[in-house]
Amino acid sequence: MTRVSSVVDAPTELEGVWGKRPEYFAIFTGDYNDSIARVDPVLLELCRVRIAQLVESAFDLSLRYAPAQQAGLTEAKIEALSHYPDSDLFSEKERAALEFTEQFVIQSSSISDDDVARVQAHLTAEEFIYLTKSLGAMDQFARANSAFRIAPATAVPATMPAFTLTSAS
Amino acid sequence: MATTPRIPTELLEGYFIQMERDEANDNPVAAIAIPIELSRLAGIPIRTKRSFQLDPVLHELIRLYNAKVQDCQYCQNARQAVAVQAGLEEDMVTALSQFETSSLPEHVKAALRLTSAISTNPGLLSDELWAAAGEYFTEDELVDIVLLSMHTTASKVTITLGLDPGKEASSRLFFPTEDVYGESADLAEAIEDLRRSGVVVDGPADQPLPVGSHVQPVGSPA
Repeated sequence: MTRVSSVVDAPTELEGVWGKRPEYFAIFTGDYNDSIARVDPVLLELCRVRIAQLVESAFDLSLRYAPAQQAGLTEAKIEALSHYPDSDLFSEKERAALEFTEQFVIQSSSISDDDVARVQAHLTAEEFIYLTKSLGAMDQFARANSAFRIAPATAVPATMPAFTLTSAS
Repeated sequence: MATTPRIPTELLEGYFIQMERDEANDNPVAAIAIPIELSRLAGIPIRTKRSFQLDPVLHELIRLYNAKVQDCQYCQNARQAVAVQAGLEEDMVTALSQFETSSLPEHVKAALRLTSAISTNPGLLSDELWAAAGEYFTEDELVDIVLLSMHTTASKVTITLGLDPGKEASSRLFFPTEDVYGESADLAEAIEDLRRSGVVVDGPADQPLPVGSHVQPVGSPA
């Protein structure tokens, strides 16, 4: 359960905490949803879950991006994320994007031109822009949710219409 | 750190680090930029009806701390004139890199411990740190500190794409009436309140004030 005790009345814990700053929440969420919709859904979801693992957001880990599931992303592959460099479930493009994601999360200012070139080899210029922007939005969201200790979702927040609950939750 | 674009320049036309959100604009630059509405609500230390409600000096110190951690040249060389008038000093900014052993006030250190955890690994934000900060701040303020600490990591996208505008674009005092914040009724109202209370809200017309300049609110002891 969240460490914030004075939540506003709302259907989910996420909305109860972020709802304390409703205007910020609305604009941030709009930017988040717009940003993730511009990226290949499977690639996006792999990166999103990896971010949630790295910043320890139980809430973000409890959701799945429905377009990725519809495109064939399996739970087995998500479970393999923690050892993606050695798993044959991942394509070269996915490995490059995940490596880039980890660098972005841990210290984006240390990403070198060579690091960028490795991921750009698999993406168009626009795809690279949109992936990076979505990493930013997902990194921010998961960091705040982790800091607030927002619990795993038991219902999908209305602000996240593209998501579903994991089968485990 | 990269201040050389890593994306084709033809995709960059019209880009700035924060831009007005425009539903009609589907260009990559509009997708990258920080929505200026978020900056008005969170990124500047001006308390409007709907914005974060933190003390301006604390707000600016949290912003500048994260600017250093993320190595955003534009962010770490800008100073908000409102925070300067509320007591922000350059030696406080210098102290941020080693804040634990600095002479910064205890409430600032308690807030920066939250910011530091959030920008490195929020899993390290323990109940003890949260409770210790709660000695100095209300829970609403703690929520604003978390959101501000998160908000000021938005520069990671800009930096990664090689689009940090650099310190040449920012090394000065910024006044709240400047075009860079765009327009909103809430901001205009808050600025008028500040003006009535004696805070200087307009910068000099001729040339910008360098970092370290002092600005005294009207009617305050020199």
